[in-house]
Amino acid sequence: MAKHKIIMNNVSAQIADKAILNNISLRVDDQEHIGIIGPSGSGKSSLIRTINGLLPISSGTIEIDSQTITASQPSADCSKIGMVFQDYALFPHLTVLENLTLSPTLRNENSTRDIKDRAFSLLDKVKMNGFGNRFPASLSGGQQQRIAIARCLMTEPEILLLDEPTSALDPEMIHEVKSVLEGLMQSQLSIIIVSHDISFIKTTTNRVIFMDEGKKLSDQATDLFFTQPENERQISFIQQLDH
Amino acid sequence: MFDLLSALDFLSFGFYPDIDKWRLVLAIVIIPMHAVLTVFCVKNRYRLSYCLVLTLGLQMLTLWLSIGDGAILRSVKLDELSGLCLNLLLAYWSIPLATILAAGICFILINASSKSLAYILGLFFDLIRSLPLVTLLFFNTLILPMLFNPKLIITRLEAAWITLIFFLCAYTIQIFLGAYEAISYHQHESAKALGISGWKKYRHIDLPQMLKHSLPALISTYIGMIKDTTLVMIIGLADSLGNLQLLISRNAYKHYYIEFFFILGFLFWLTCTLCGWWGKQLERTSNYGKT
Ligand SMILES: Nc1ncnc2c1ncn2[C@@H]1O[C@H](COP(=O)(O)OP(=O)(O)O)[C@@H](O)[C@H]1O
Ligand SMILES: [Mg+2]
Repeated sequence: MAKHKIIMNNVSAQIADKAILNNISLRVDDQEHIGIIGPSGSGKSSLIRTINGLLPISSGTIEIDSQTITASQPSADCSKIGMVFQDYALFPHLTVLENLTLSPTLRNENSTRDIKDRAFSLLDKVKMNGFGNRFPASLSGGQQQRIAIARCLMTEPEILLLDEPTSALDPEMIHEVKSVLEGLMQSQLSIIIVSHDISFIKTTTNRVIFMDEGKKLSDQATDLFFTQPENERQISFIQQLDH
Repeated sequence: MFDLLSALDFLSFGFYPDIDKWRLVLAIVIIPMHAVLTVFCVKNRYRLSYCLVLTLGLQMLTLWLSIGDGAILRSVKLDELSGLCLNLLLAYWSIPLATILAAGICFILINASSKSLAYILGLFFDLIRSLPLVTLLFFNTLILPMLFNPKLIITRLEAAWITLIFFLCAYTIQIFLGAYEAISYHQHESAKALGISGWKKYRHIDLPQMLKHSLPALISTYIGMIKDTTLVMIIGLADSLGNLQLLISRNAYKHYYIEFFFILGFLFWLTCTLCGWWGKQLERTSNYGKT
Protein backbone atom coordinates (compact mmCIF):
# COMPACT_ATOMS: atom_id res chain seq x y z
CA MET A 1 0.00 0.00 0.00
CA ALA A 2 1.28 3.44 -0.87
CA LYS A 3 2.37 5.52 2.06
CA HIS A 4 0.62 8.77 2.87
CA LYS A 5 2.56 11.89 1.94
CA ILE A 6 0.15 14.47 3.31
CA ILE A 7 -2.57 13.87 5.88
CA MET A 8 -4.96 16.72 6.62
CA ASN A 9 -7.24 16.19 9.59
CA ASN A 10 -10.27 18.45 10.04
CA VAL A 11 -8.40 21.51 8.83
CA SER A 12 -10.14 24.85 9.10
CA ALA A 13 -8.75 28.24 8.25
CA GLN A 14 -10.03 31.74 8.51
CA ILE A 15 -8.98 35.18 7.33
CA ALA A 16 -10.15 38.06 9.50
CA ASP A 17 -12.77 35.90 11.25
CA LYS A 18 -14.25 34.80 7.96
CA ALA A 19 -14.18 31.01 7.55
CA ILE A 20 -12.27 30.17 4.40
CA LEU A 21 -11.80 26.43 4.89
CA ASN A 22 -14.24 24.25 6.75
CA ASN A 23 -13.19 20.98 8.39
CA ILE A 24 -11.28 19.54 5.50
CA SER A 25 -9.72 16.11 5.72
CA LEU A 26 -7.58 14.85 2.92
CA ARG A 27 -4.94 12.22 2.28
CA VAL A 28 -2.39 12.42 -0.47
CA ASP A 29 -0.33 9.34 -1.20
CA ASP A 30 3.23 9.24 -2.31
CA GLN A 31 3.44 10.00 -6.04
CA GLU A 32 -0.28 10.62 -6.25
CA HIS A 33 -1.63 13.36 -8.52
CA ILE A 34 -4.67 15.15 -7.21
CA GLY A 35 -6.80 17.69 -9.05
CA ILE A 36 -8.83 20.29 -7.20
CA ILE A 37 -11.75 21.88 -8.98
CA GLY A 38 -14.59 24.11 -7.94
CA PRO A 39 -16.01 27.56 -8.54
CA SER A 40 -13.99 30.73 -7.94
CA GLY A 41 -13.72 31.69 -4.31
CA SER A 42 -14.45 28.16 -3.14
CA GLY A 43 -11.14 27.94 -1.28
CA LYS A 44 -9.06 25.89 -3.71
CA SER A 45 -6.04 28.16 -3.45
CA SER A 46 -6.51 28.48 0.28
CA LEU A 47 -6.47 24.70 0.65
CA ILE A 48 -3.12 24.22 -1.02
CA ARG A 49 -1.69 27.32 0.65
CA THR A 50 -2.21 25.72 4.05
CA ILE A 51 0.12 22.90 3.02
CA ASN A 52 3.20 25.07 2.61
CA GLY A 53 2.32 27.46 5.39
CA LEU A 54 1.27 30.46 3.31
CA LEU A 55 -2.11 30.31 5.04
CA PRO A 56 -2.05 29.52 8.77
CA ILE A 57 -4.71 27.09 9.88
CA SER A 58 -7.04 27.76 12.79
CA SER A 59 -7.75 24.17 13.78
CA GLY A 60 -6.92 20.63 12.78
CA THR A 61 -3.56 19.16 11.81
CA ILE A 62 -1.57 18.70 8.65
CA GLU A 63 1.05 15.97 8.64
CA ILE A 64 3.70 16.11 5.97
CA ASP A 65 6.19 13.27 6.30
CA SER A 66 7.32 13.55 9.90
CA GLN A 67 6.38 17.21 10.30
CA THR A 68 3.08 18.27 11.82
CA ILE A 69 1.46 21.64 11.25
CA THR A 70 -1.12 22.87 13.73
CA ALA A 71 -2.67 26.23 14.52
CA SER A 72 -0.08 26.95 17.18
CA GLN A 73 2.80 25.42 15.26
CA PRO A 74 3.04 26.78 11.72
CA SER A 75 5.19 25.06 9.17
CA ALA A 76 8.90 25.41 9.69
CA ASP A 77 10.42 23.87 6.63
CA CYS A 78 8.85 23.89 3.20
CA SER A 79 11.98 22.97 1.28
CA LYS A 80 10.35 19.71 0.22
CA ILE A 81 7.30 21.54 -1.13
CA GLY A 82 7.39 23.44 -4.38
CA MET A 83 4.67 25.84 -5.43
CA VAL A 84 3.74 27.39 -8.77
CA PHE A 85 1.46 30.41 -8.75
CA GLN A 86 -1.11 31.54 -11.26
CA ASP A 87 0.84 34.71 -11.98
CA TYR A 88 4.35 33.21 -12.05
CA ALA A 89 5.68 35.55 -9.30
CA LEU A 90 9.22 35.57 -10.63
CA PHE A 91 11.60 38.10 -9.09
CA PRO A 92 11.72 40.87 -11.70
CA HIS A 93 15.11 42.24 -10.68
CA LEU A 94 16.87 38.90 -11.11
CA THR A 95 17.78 37.15 -14.33
CA VAL A 96 16.19 33.81 -15.14
CA LEU A 97 19.28 31.98 -13.91
CA GLU A 98 19.40 34.02 -10.69
CA ASN A 99 15.71 33.34 -10.10
CA LEU A 100 16.52 29.65 -10.20
CA THR A 101 19.69 29.71 -8.14
CA LEU A 102 18.71 32.22 -5.44
CA SER A 103 16.94 29.93 -3.03
CA PRO A 104 19.39 26.99 -3.19
CA THR A 105 22.33 29.41 -2.96
CA LEU A 106 20.91 31.07 0.14
CA ARG A 107 20.27 27.68 1.69
CA ASN A 108 23.90 26.81 1.10
CA GLU A 109 23.13 23.20 0.43
CA ASN A 110 25.31 22.58 -2.58
CA SER A 111 28.28 24.17 -4.21
CA THR A 112 27.60 27.05 -6.58
CA ARG A 113 28.73 24.84 -9.40
CA ASP A 114 26.23 22.07 -8.63
CA ILE A 115 23.44 24.60 -8.27
CA LYS A 116 24.23 26.13 -11.64
CA ASP A 117 24.45 22.73 -13.30
CA ARG A 118 21.07 21.84 -11.89
CA ALA A 119 19.63 25.16 -13.05
CA PHE A 120 20.84 24.58 -16.58
CA SER A 121 19.47 21.05 -16.70
CA LEU A 122 16.09 22.29 -15.45
CA LEU A 123 16.06 25.09 -18.02
CA ASP A 124 16.64 22.36 -20.54
CA LYS A 125 13.78 20.36 -19.11
CA VAL A 126 11.31 23.25 -19.44
CA LYS A 127 12.68 24.01 -22.91
CA MET A 128 14.08 27.39 -21.91
CA ASN A 129 17.68 26.72 -22.86
CA GLY A 130 19.65 29.86 -23.54
CA PHE A 131 17.32 32.18 -21.64
CA GLY A 132 19.44 32.20 -18.48
CA ASN A 133 20.57 35.79 -18.78
CA ARG A 134 17.21 37.28 -19.72
CA PHE A 135 15.02 39.17 -17.29
CA PRO A 136 11.45 37.98 -16.62
CA ALA A 137 10.00 41.19 -18.09
CA SER A 138 11.43 40.28 -21.47
CA LEU A 139 9.68 36.88 -21.56
CA SER A 140 6.16 35.87 -22.55
CA GLY A 141 3.72 34.65 -19.93
CA GLY A 142 4.17 31.04 -20.96
CA GLN A 143 7.92 31.34 -20.79
CA GLN A 144 7.73 32.98 -17.37
CA GLN A 145 5.51 30.22 -16.09
CA ARG A 146 7.94 27.58 -17.34
CA ILE A 147 10.75 29.38 -15.53
CA ALA A 148 8.60 29.46 -12.40
CA ILE A 149 8.12 25.71 -12.71
CA ALA A 150 11.86 25.19 -13.09
CA ARG A 151 12.48 27.46 -10.11
CA CYS A 152 10.28 25.45 -7.78
CA LEU A 153 12.00 22.25 -8.90
CA MET A 154 15.42 23.63 -7.94
CA THR A 155 15.07 22.55 -4.32
CA GLU A 156 14.15 19.00 -5.37
CA PRO A 157 10.70 19.05 -3.80
CA GLU A 158 8.76 15.86 -3.09
CA ILE A 159 5.42 17.66 -3.18
CA LEU A 160 4.35 20.05 -5.88
CA LEU A 161 1.49 22.52 -5.47
CA LEU A 162 0.22 24.06 -8.70
CA ASP A 163 -2.31 26.86 -8.36
CA GLU A 164 -4.01 27.42 -11.71
CA PRO A 165 -0.68 27.34 -13.55
CA THR A 166 -2.26 28.04 -16.93
CA SER A 167 -5.12 30.38 -16.04
CA ALA A 168 -3.27 33.61 -16.77
CA LEU A 169 -2.11 32.45 -20.18
CA ASP A 170 -3.57 32.68 -23.65
CA PRO A 171 -4.25 29.46 -25.59
CA GLU A 172 -0.96 29.19 -27.42
CA MET A 173 1.03 29.60 -24.25
CA ILE A 174 -1.18 27.20 -22.35
CA HIS A 175 -0.05 24.51 -24.72
CA GLU A 176 3.66 24.98 -24.07
CA VAL A 177 3.17 25.09 -20.29
CA LYS A 178 0.92 22.04 -20.36
CA SER A 179 3.48 20.01 -22.22
CA VAL A 180 6.02 20.83 -19.52
CA LEU A 181 3.49 19.95 -16.81
CA GLU A 182 2.68 16.66 -18.52
CA GLY A 183 6.37 15.84 -18.36
CA LEU A 184 6.28 16.55 -14.63
CA MET A 185 3.31 14.31 -14.15
CA GLN A 186 5.46 11.38 -15.28
CA SER A 187 7.85 11.95 -12.40
CA GLN A 188 7.79 10.56 -8.88
CA LEU A 189 6.33 13.65 -7.23
CA SER A 190 3.15 14.02 -5.24
CA ILE A 191 1.24 16.71 -7.05
CA ILE A 192 -1.81 18.77 -6.17
CA ILE A 193 -3.08 20.87 -9.03
CA VAL A 194 -5.85 23.45 -9.01
CA SER A 195 -7.13 23.97 -12.52
CA HIS A 196 -10.16 24.86 -14.57
CA ASP A 197 -8.74 22.87 -17.45
CA ILE A 198 -10.91 19.78 -17.17
CA SER A 199 -9.33 17.84 -20.01
CA PHE A 200 -5.97 18.32 -18.39
CA ILE A 201 -7.34 17.19 -15.02
CA LYS A 202 -8.90 14.15 -16.68
CA THR A 203 -5.69 13.04 -18.35
CA THR A 204 -3.15 13.73 -15.64
CA THR A 205 -4.68 13.13 -12.21
CA ASN A 206 -5.64 10.03 -10.24
CA ARG A 207 -8.11 11.70 -8.00
CA VAL A 208 -10.31 14.79 -8.08
CA ILE A 209 -11.50 16.87 -5.17
CA PHE A 210 -14.48 19.14 -5.61
CA MET A 211 -14.68 22.20 -3.40
CA ASP A 212 -17.41 24.71 -2.77
CA GLU A 213 -17.69 27.42 -0.12
CA GLY A 214 -14.68 26.19 1.77
CA LYS A 215 -15.93 22.64 2.03
CA LYS A 216 -14.74 19.48 0.38
CA LEU A 217 -17.88 18.19 -1.34
CA SER A 218 -16.46 15.16 -3.08
CA ASP A 219 -13.27 13.18 -3.37
CA GLN A 220 -13.30 10.51 -6.06
CA ALA A 221 -11.07 8.70 -8.49
CA THR A 222 -10.82 10.84 -11.60
CA ASP A 223 -12.82 8.62 -13.95
CA LEU A 224 -15.58 8.11 -11.39
CA PHE A 225 -15.76 11.82 -10.67
CA PHE A 226 -17.02 12.64 -14.11
CA THR A 227 -19.11 9.53 -14.71
CA GLN A 228 -20.65 8.91 -11.29
CA PRO A 229 -20.90 12.22 -9.50
CA GLU A 230 -21.70 12.01 -5.80
CA ASN A 231 -23.87 15.05 -5.14
CA GLU A 232 -26.14 17.64 -6.70
CA ARG A 233 -23.68 20.53 -6.61
CA GLN A 234 -21.09 18.45 -8.38
CA ILE A 235 -23.61 17.36 -11.03
CA SER A 236 -24.57 20.92 -11.83
CA PHE A 237 -20.91 21.96 -11.91
CA ILE A 238 -20.07 19.18 -14.37
CA GLN A 239 -23.09 20.04 -16.50
CA GLN A 240 -21.89 23.64 -16.72
CA LEU A 241 -18.53 22.39 -17.92
CA ASP A 242 -20.14 20.53 -20.80
CA HIS A 243 -21.71 23.69 -22.19
CA MET B 1 41.41 95.36 -6.41
CA PHE B 2 38.86 93.36 -8.36
CA ASP B 3 40.10 89.95 -9.27
CA LEU B 4 37.57 87.43 -10.54
CA LEU B 5 39.81 84.41 -10.14
CA SER B 6 40.66 85.05 -6.55
CA ALA B 7 37.03 85.80 -5.84
CA LEU B 8 35.98 82.46 -7.29
CA ASP B 9 38.79 80.84 -5.39
CA PHE B 10 37.45 82.34 -2.19
CA LEU B 11 33.89 81.26 -2.97
CA SER B 12 35.06 77.72 -3.54
CA PHE B 13 37.70 77.19 -0.88
CA GLY B 14 37.36 80.00 1.62
CA PHE B 15 40.32 80.11 3.95
CA TYR B 16 41.53 76.61 3.24
CA PRO B 17 45.34 76.75 3.20
CA ASP B 18 46.75 77.22 -0.29
CA ILE B 19 49.28 74.43 -0.17
CA ASP B 20 46.57 71.95 0.75
CA LYS B 21 44.01 72.93 -1.87
CA TRP B 22 44.95 70.02 -4.09
CA ARG B 23 43.53 67.79 -1.38
CA LEU B 24 40.11 69.42 -1.58
CA VAL B 25 40.21 69.37 -5.36
CA LEU B 26 40.99 65.67 -5.26
CA ALA B 27 38.20 65.02 -2.78
CA ILE B 28 35.72 66.89 -4.98
CA VAL B 29 36.86 65.03 -8.08
CA ILE B 30 36.24 61.74 -6.29
CA ILE B 31 32.52 62.57 -5.99
CA PRO B 32 31.65 62.32 -9.70
CA MET B 33 34.01 59.36 -10.00
CA HIS B 34 32.06 57.63 -7.27
CA ALA B 35 28.84 58.42 -9.09
CA VAL B 36 30.18 56.92 -12.31
CA LEU B 37 31.45 53.85 -10.46
CA THR B 38 28.02 53.35 -8.93
CA VAL B 39 26.41 53.32 -12.36
CA PHE B 40 29.11 50.88 -13.44
CA CYS B 41 28.35 48.61 -10.46
CA VAL B 42 24.63 48.68 -11.21
CA LYS B 43 25.23 48.03 -14.89
CA ASN B 44 27.40 45.02 -14.18
CA ARG B 45 25.06 43.92 -11.41
CA TYR B 46 27.77 43.73 -8.78
CA ARG B 47 26.71 42.67 -5.33
CA LEU B 48 25.33 45.40 -3.09
CA SER B 49 28.07 44.63 -0.61
CA TYR B 50 30.72 45.66 -3.13
CA CYS B 51 28.95 48.99 -3.61
CA LEU B 52 28.80 49.36 0.15
CA VAL B 53 32.53 48.76 0.58
CA LEU B 54 33.31 51.11 -2.32
CA THR B 55 31.09 53.81 -0.82
CA LEU B 56 32.46 53.56 2.70
CA GLY B 57 36.01 53.45 1.35
CA LEU B 58 35.57 56.59 -0.72
CA GLN B 59 33.83 58.38 2.12
CA MET B 60 36.81 57.69 4.39
CA LEU B 61 39.23 58.71 1.68
CA THR B 62 37.55 62.05 1.06
CA LEU B 63 37.25 62.71 4.79
CA TRP B 64 40.91 61.98 5.28
CA LEU B 65 41.89 64.08 2.29
CA SER B 66 39.94 67.14 3.30
CA ILE B 67 40.08 67.25 7.09
CA GLY B 68 42.29 64.36 8.05
CA ASP B 69 45.47 64.78 9.98
CA GLY B 70 48.14 62.23 10.24
CA ALA B 71 51.64 61.24 9.45
CA ILE B 72 51.30 61.73 5.73
CA LEU B 73 49.12 64.77 5.35
CA ARG B 74 49.41 68.04 7.17
CA SER B 75 46.65 68.47 9.67
CA VAL B 76 43.89 70.87 8.67
CA LYS B 77 41.59 72.47 11.18
CA LEU B 78 37.97 71.64 10.66
CA ASP B 79 37.00 75.27 10.60
CA GLU B 80 39.25 75.89 7.66
CA LEU B 81 36.95 73.85 5.46
CA SER B 82 34.57 76.32 3.84
CA GLY B 83 33.07 77.60 0.63
CA LEU B 84 31.40 75.61 -2.09
CA CYS B 85 33.63 72.68 -1.21
CA LEU B 86 32.00 72.57 2.19
CA ASN B 87 28.54 72.38 0.59
CA LEU B 88 29.54 69.66 -1.81
CA LEU B 89 31.43 67.60 0.73
CA LEU B 90 28.73 67.91 3.37
CA ALA B 91 26.19 66.68 0.83
CA TYR B 92 28.53 63.91 -0.25
CA TRP B 93 29.21 62.82 3.31
CA SER B 94 25.51 62.76 4.22
CA ILE B 95 23.79 61.25 1.20
CA PRO B 96 25.33 57.76 1.07
CA LEU B 97 25.47 57.34 4.83
CA ALA B 98 21.87 58.47 5.27
CA THR B 99 20.79 56.05 2.55
CA ILE B 100 22.63 53.13 4.13
CA LEU B 101 21.24 54.01 7.55
CA ALA B 102 17.72 54.29 6.14
CA ALA B 103 18.03 50.91 4.44
CA GLY B 104 19.06 49.37 7.75
CA ILE B 105 16.27 51.03 9.69
CA CYS B 106 13.70 49.95 7.11
CA PHE B 107 14.77 46.37 7.69
CA ILE B 108 13.94 46.78 11.37
CA LEU B 109 10.66 48.56 10.63
CA ILE B 110 9.55 45.91 8.15
CA ASN B 111 10.70 42.80 9.96
CA ALA B 112 10.77 43.84 13.59
CA SER B 113 9.43 41.13 15.83
CA SER B 114 9.44 43.62 18.69
CA LYS B 115 6.84 46.23 17.91
CA SER B 116 8.20 48.62 20.52
CA LEU B 117 11.57 49.01 18.80
CA ALA B 118 9.85 49.82 15.52
CA TYR B 119 7.58 52.22 17.37
CA ILE B 120 10.43 54.10 19.03
CA LEU B 121 12.37 54.32 15.77
CA GLY B 122 9.26 55.56 14.01
CA LEU B 123 8.66 58.18 16.65
CA PHE B 124 12.26 59.38 16.61
CA PHE B 125 12.43 59.85 12.87
CA ASP B 126 8.98 61.34 12.80
CA LEU B 127 10.22 64.00 15.20
CA ILE B 128 13.22 64.74 13.00
CA ARG B 129 11.01 64.95 9.95
CA SER B 130 8.58 67.32 11.62
CA LEU B 131 11.16 69.89 12.67
CA PRO B 132 12.74 72.46 10.36
CA LEU B 133 16.33 71.66 9.52
CA VAL B 134 17.44 75.02 10.88
CA THR B 135 15.95 74.20 14.25
CA LEU B 136 17.73 70.88 14.32
CA LEU B 137 21.02 72.48 13.37
CA PHE B 138 20.68 75.04 16.15
CA PHE B 139 19.65 72.45 18.66
CA ASN B 140 22.47 70.07 17.88
CA THR B 141 25.23 72.64 17.73
CA LEU B 142 24.22 74.95 20.55
CA ILE B 143 21.78 73.31 22.91
CA LEU B 144 22.77 69.66 22.87
CA PRO B 145 26.34 70.38 24.06
CA MET B 146 24.85 72.47 26.89
CA LEU B 147 22.44 69.76 27.95
CA PHE B 148 25.05 67.05 27.98
CA ASN B 149 28.65 67.00 28.97
CA PRO B 150 30.13 70.30 27.78
CA LYS B 151 33.52 68.65 27.65
CA LEU B 152 32.20 66.39 24.95
CA ILE B 153 33.18 68.77 22.25
CA ILE B 154 31.94 68.03 18.84
CA THR B 155 32.71 70.73 16.36
CA ARG B 156 29.98 72.64 14.59
CA LEU B 157 30.90 70.88 11.39
CA GLU B 158 30.47 67.47 12.97
CA ALA B 159 27.19 68.48 14.52
CA ALA B 160 25.95 69.81 11.18
CA TRP B 161 27.11 66.65 9.44
CA ILE B 162 25.30 64.33 11.85
CA THR B 163 22.17 66.48 11.70
CA LEU B 164 22.11 66.35 7.92
CA ILE B 165 22.52 62.57 7.95
CA PHE B 166 19.60 62.04 10.30
CA PHE B 167 17.44 64.63 8.58
CA LEU B 168 17.97 63.04 5.18
CA CYS B 169 17.58 59.59 6.69
CA ALA B 170 14.14 60.47 8.05
CA TYR B 171 12.94 61.29 4.55
CA THR B 172 14.69 58.38 2.89
CA ILE B 173 13.05 55.90 5.28
CA GLN B 174 9.63 57.04 4.12
CA ILE B 175 10.64 56.80 0.48
CA PHE B 176 11.95 53.28 1.05
CA LEU B 177 8.81 52.21 2.90
CA GLY B 178 6.73 53.45 -0.03
CA ALA B 179 8.93 51.53 -2.42
CA TYR B 180 8.54 48.41 -0.29
CA GLU B 181 4.77 48.66 -0.67
CA ALA B 182 5.26 48.58 -4.44
CA ILE B 183 6.64 45.05 -4.28
CA SER B 184 3.74 42.75 -5.14
CA TYR B 185 2.52 40.38 -2.45
CA HIS B 186 3.03 37.54 -4.93
CA GLN B 187 6.71 38.02 -4.53
CA HIS B 188 6.49 37.88 -0.76
CA GLU B 189 4.53 34.66 -1.12
CA SER B 190 6.87 33.06 -3.59
CA ALA B 191 9.83 34.04 -1.42
CA LYS B 192 8.14 32.32 1.47
CA ALA B 193 7.32 29.28 -0.62
CA LEU B 194 10.99 29.13 -1.61
CA GLY B 195 12.04 29.35 2.02
CA ILE B 196 13.67 32.79 1.75
CA SER B 197 12.94 34.98 4.75
CA GLY B 198 14.32 37.56 7.17
CA TRP B 199 17.53 39.37 6.32
CA LYS B 200 18.19 37.19 3.28
CA LYS B 201 14.83 38.10 1.81
CA TYR B 202 15.37 41.78 2.60
CA ARG B 203 18.83 41.78 1.13
CA HIS B 204 18.14 39.79 -2.03
CA ILE B 205 14.50 40.47 -2.86
CA ASP B 206 13.21 43.57 -1.09
CA LEU B 207 16.14 45.99 -0.99
CA PRO B 208 17.22 45.79 -4.65
CA GLN B 209 13.66 46.48 -5.76
CA MET B 210 13.13 49.18 -3.14
CA LEU B 211 16.25 50.97 -4.37
CA LYS B 212 15.03 50.78 -7.92
CA HIS B 213 11.45 51.85 -7.22
CA SER B 214 12.58 54.75 -5.09
CA LEU B 215 15.17 56.21 -7.48
CA PRO B 216 13.16 59.22 -8.76
CA ALA B 217 12.05 60.25 -5.27
CA LEU B 218 15.50 59.54 -3.83
CA ILE B 219 17.25 61.72 -6.38
CA SER B 220 15.01 64.69 -5.76
CA THR B 221 15.54 64.30 -2.04
CA TYR B 222 19.28 64.23 -2.66
CA ILE B 223 19.02 67.40 -4.71
CA GLY B 224 17.09 68.99 -1.86
CA MET B 225 19.90 67.94 0.47
CA ILE B 226 22.56 69.54 -1.73
CA LYS B 227 20.69 72.84 -1.49
CA ASP B 228 19.95 72.41 2.21
CA THR B 229 23.66 72.34 2.98
CA THR B 230 23.61 76.13 2.56
CA LEU B 231 21.64 76.29 5.80
CA VAL B 232 24.76 75.48 7.79
CA MET B 233 25.63 79.15 7.33
CA ILE B 234 23.11 79.84 10.07
CA ILE B 235 25.18 78.03 12.69
CA GLY B 236 28.23 79.98 11.62
CA LEU B 237 29.86 77.65 9.15
CA ALA B 238 31.34 79.51 6.22
CA ASP B 239 29.77 77.72 3.30
CA SER B 240 29.59 79.18 -0.19
CA LEU B 241 26.77 81.57 0.72
CA GLY B 242 28.65 82.68 3.83
CA ASN B 243 31.78 83.29 1.83
CA LEU B 244 29.76 85.16 -0.75
CA GLN B 245 28.51 87.55 1.89
CA LEU B 246 32.02 88.04 3.19
CA LEU B 247 33.17 88.71 -0.32
CA ILE B 248 30.61 91.32 -1.24
CA SER B 249 31.15 93.11 2.02
CA ARG B 250 34.55 94.07 0.64
CA ASN B 251 34.70 97.31 -1.26
CA ALA B 252 36.17 95.94 -4.44
CA TYR B 253 33.35 93.46 -4.92
CA LYS B 254 30.31 95.11 -3.46
CA HIS B 255 28.93 96.34 -6.78
CA TYR B 256 28.99 92.88 -8.26
CA TYR B 257 26.90 90.99 -5.78
CA ILE B 258 24.19 90.15 -8.34
CA GLU B 259 26.80 88.68 -10.63
CA PHE B 260 28.26 86.60 -7.83
CA PHE B 261 24.86 85.37 -6.79
CA PHE B 262 24.29 84.29 -10.36
CA ILE B 263 27.62 82.53 -10.52
CA LEU B 264 26.89 80.68 -7.33
CA GLY B 265 23.35 79.92 -8.51
CA PHE B 266 24.77 78.56 -11.72
CA LEU B 267 27.15 76.28 -9.84
CA PHE B 268 24.30 74.91 -7.73
CA TRP B 269 22.16 74.44 -10.82
CA LEU B 270 25.01 72.56 -12.46
CA THR B 271 25.54 70.31 -9.45
CA CYS B 272 21.86 69.50 -9.07
CA THR B 273 21.39 68.93 -12.79
CA LEU B 274 24.34 66.55 -12.83
CA CYS B 275 22.82 64.76 -9.86
CA GLY B 276 19.52 64.45 -11.68
CA TRP B 277 21.27 63.20 -14.79
CA TRP B 278 23.10 60.63 -12.70
CA GLY B 279 19.75 59.44 -11.39
CA LYS B 280 18.49 59.03 -14.96
CA GLN B 281 21.53 56.91 -15.78
CA LEU B 282 20.91 54.74 -12.73
CA GLU B 283 17.29 54.26 -13.75
CA ARG B 284 18.28 53.37 -17.26
CA THR B 285 20.85 50.81 -16.21
CA SER B 286 18.49 49.12 -13.80
CA ASN B 287 15.41 48.65 -15.94
CA TYR B 288 15.63 44.84 -15.90
CA GLY B 289 14.74 43.99 -19.45
CA LYS B 290 11.78 46.34 -19.74
CA THR B 291 11.73 48.34 -22.91
N1 LIG C 1 -6.59 37.95 1.78
C1 LIG C 1 -7.90 37.66 1.87
N2 LIG C 1 -8.70 38.41 2.65
C2 LIG C 1 -10.02 38.12 2.76
N3 LIG C 1 -10.61 37.11 2.14
C3 LIG C 1 -9.87 36.33 1.33
C4 LIG C 1 -8.48 36.57 1.16
N4 LIG C 1 -7.98 35.63 0.32
C5 LIG C 1 -9.03 34.86 -0.01
N5 LIG C 1 -10.15 35.28 0.59
C6 LIG C 1 -11.49 34.66 0.47
O1 LIG C 1 -11.32 33.30 0.67
C7 LIG C 1 -12.19 32.57 -0.18
C8 LIG C 1 -11.43 31.51 -0.90
O2 LIG C 1 -10.46 32.10 -1.72
P1 LIG C 1 -9.51 31.25 -2.66
O3 LIG C 1 -8.92 30.16 -1.87
O4 LIG C 1 -8.58 32.19 -3.32
O5 LIG C 1 -10.55 30.67 -3.72
P2 LIG C 1 -10.25 29.99 -5.12
O6 LIG C 1 -8.80 29.78 -5.26
O7 LIG C 1 -11.03 28.72 -5.08
O8 LIG C 1 -10.81 30.89 -6.16
C9 LIG C 1 -12.85 33.58 -1.09
O9 LIG C 1 -14.16 33.79 -0.63
C10 LIG C 1 -12.04 34.83 -0.92
O10 LIG C 1 -12.88 35.95 -1.00
MG1 LIG D 1 -7.42 30.59 -6.60
